[in-house]
Amino acid sequence: MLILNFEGYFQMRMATDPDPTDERRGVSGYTFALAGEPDLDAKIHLQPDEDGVWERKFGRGGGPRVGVTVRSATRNGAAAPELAGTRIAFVDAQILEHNGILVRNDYFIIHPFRVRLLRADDETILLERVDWLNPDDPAMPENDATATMLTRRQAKKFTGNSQAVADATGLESPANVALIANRLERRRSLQELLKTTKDPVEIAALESRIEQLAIVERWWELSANVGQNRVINRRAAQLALQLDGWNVDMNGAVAVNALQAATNYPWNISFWMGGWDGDALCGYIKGTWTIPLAENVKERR
Amino acid sequence: MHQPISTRAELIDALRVAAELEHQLMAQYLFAVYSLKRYTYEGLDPVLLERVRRWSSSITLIARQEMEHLGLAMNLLSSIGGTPSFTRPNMPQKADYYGQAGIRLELTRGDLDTIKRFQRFEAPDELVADLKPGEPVDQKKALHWCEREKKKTRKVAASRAEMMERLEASRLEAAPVTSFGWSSVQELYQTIYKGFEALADEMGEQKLFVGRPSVQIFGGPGGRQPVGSMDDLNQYGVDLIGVTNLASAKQAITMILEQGEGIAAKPSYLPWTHFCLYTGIRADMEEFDRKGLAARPVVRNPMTRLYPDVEQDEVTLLTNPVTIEVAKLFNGSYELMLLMLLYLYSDNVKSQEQVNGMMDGAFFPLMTMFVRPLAEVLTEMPAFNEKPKGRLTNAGAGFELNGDVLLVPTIDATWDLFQERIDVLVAGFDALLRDGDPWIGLPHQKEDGEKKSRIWRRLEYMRSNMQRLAFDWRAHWNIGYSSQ
Repeated sequence: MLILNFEGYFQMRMATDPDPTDERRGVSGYTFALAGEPDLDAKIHLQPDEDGVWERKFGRGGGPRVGVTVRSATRNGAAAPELAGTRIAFVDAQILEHNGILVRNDYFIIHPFRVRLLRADDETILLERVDWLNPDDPAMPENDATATMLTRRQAKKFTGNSQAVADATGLESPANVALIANRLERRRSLQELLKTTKDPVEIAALESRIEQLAIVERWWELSANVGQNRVINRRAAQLALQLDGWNVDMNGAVAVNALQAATNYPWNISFWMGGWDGDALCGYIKGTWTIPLAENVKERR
Repeated sequence: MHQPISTRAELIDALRVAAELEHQLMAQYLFAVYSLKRYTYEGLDPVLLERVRRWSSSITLIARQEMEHLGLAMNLLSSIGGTPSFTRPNMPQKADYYGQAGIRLELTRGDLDTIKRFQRFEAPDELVADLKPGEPVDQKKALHWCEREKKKTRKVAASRAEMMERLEASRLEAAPVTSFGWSSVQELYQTIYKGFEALADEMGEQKLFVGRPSVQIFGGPGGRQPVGSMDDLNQYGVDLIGVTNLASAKQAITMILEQGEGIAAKPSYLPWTHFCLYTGIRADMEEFDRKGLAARPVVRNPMTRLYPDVEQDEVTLLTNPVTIEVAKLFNGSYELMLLMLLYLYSDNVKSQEQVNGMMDGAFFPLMTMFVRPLAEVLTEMPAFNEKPKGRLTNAGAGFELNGDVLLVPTIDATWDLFQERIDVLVAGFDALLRDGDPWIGLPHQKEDGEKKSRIWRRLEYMRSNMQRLAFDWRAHWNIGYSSQ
């Protein structure tokens, strides 16, 4: 069995509620394609060199950098250090719910779901497999899926103020006060960056980002006297929100198999996503890809 | 000024006017914002496009809060035994439809004149008292009003309780009477506020508040959201208060006045009041969009046909047959959304599953995935079949209603009747997209690597989603995991 433990920041440039899910620039949610930036593509980018990635500047405070890599690997229980640093990609994947039409309450599905393992330092693909919503009709659009088909592709559990997320992303704490402090620090950092920025297009984009982060503070101030249940704006809350429970036995065609995996058995992938930074349009993903090896199993005919 | 309200019937009448007004404002704001340019291919430089995006974000926030005000008016109405209603006249209406309030009901694109009109709708009384009909608010005075926080010219309210106290003491003077009623939105709500007080005092709160809270819609920071699972209404800038007694009724009215005109609002909130947001957009437009490039060339008051209740010589009749079909899809989606919302406000027996399904799976997506995108694509479509005479060439969503929006009387049949309406919409999308792509020849509609126009692909996305909605409705929500 080959076990790949992966994690890192992904980018997802998508519109947020109550924008429609095919919105390309962002209007009524809190994520936007800002001045000088390409249209939102709503895709999950795990690697920085993918088409559609647009990494913003953060100033002195820094911010997330896209890149999901294998941090540790084992082959039949023994460490496989040669695979550490290899890269994971979700090819053309989108995180979908169609504003409640497909699935409710943001228990997203990921579709299409094609997972790829690339070498650390070049574009060589080591493994690639797709998962089909409907193995009898691989081209079936997601809107035709039954509840059973959707459920196996969905996340299962939200955890707010998640310690696991804080640990992964380096947040000082998952408590609301820390999340607010984080956003205010980002705003300060962008304000300083603004002072040294000369390009009018970059200035326009920075001003919008600062304006969005100011909303976090306004909400916090408005709820100053409500005690324990102080309301925190989603722009801050989602920094420590975890959506867990994706667990898919990948059932589709194997496109690349350079590591002698067993192709007639499911490859299981499980992960969580969270730590969403709406200013950076980035979040964190952490999971495990478990792949049976041909040497361990008798291939089915 | 209006005479004091002294009976339940008068209070119900006033609240129905308030609900209708909020609905009308919302439709006008949405019409304007959907006409604003959005995309990089529409000829604006990136800096202006970013400004326009910010204006759009602000106006959609205001429109959502008008929806909130509409919801609050419905809750207030329901709380005292009034019948919820989404009935309103089509637009345009004559200038004095709302009497001295001067709220001109018409659908116009988001240009400077329109923003000035909206700014006046939301202006506090002291800034419109000396204005002639149609005259815009003095921008210097408006800016001064909105910068009170910096100038500290007014006493600052520290809490909601203090704000309400001030509102009560200084803004709600006894009102004289005219035939229509109110000289402004502010005065309408002030009269309603005093009406609640007077009736609660006269008959007692228990007798006044006879409506069941379970048939109201509320949520947000103030309490549990009983309808559906949309516990994040407040995250969209919407805070719906359940009305069960005099205190909550007054709180609801105060919130409307705080968000709109900024009456009694905390100074730190002033920049976010509707009046100050429009004041800021106006200042921005006057400085950065002198050529009026931000809005698409959308015609005034576009309609698929004439209605008996409109000022007919001010209607722009759409003549492009394909555009008319899209406009009909918009009208059908809009009316279905209102019917579903009305059903949620009704006392009909419905299961929690039906309520959740209605709210999360139908009402919310109807609003965000159909009504809005249909309104948006209409503003990129030709209004006319023939060569246009003027510079305004594009269509828009007329928010047309065939008459009263009434609750389906037969409870058992309600879901089937909604199913029929959804199926009609599916058929409409099917027919529209069956033959070719009539938009591929329009400017900028062909995108590299794509065979179909941008408009066609958006409509196809809507068709697919409407089919899914119809499928789920028929299957009683054949959805995936949802924690419920």
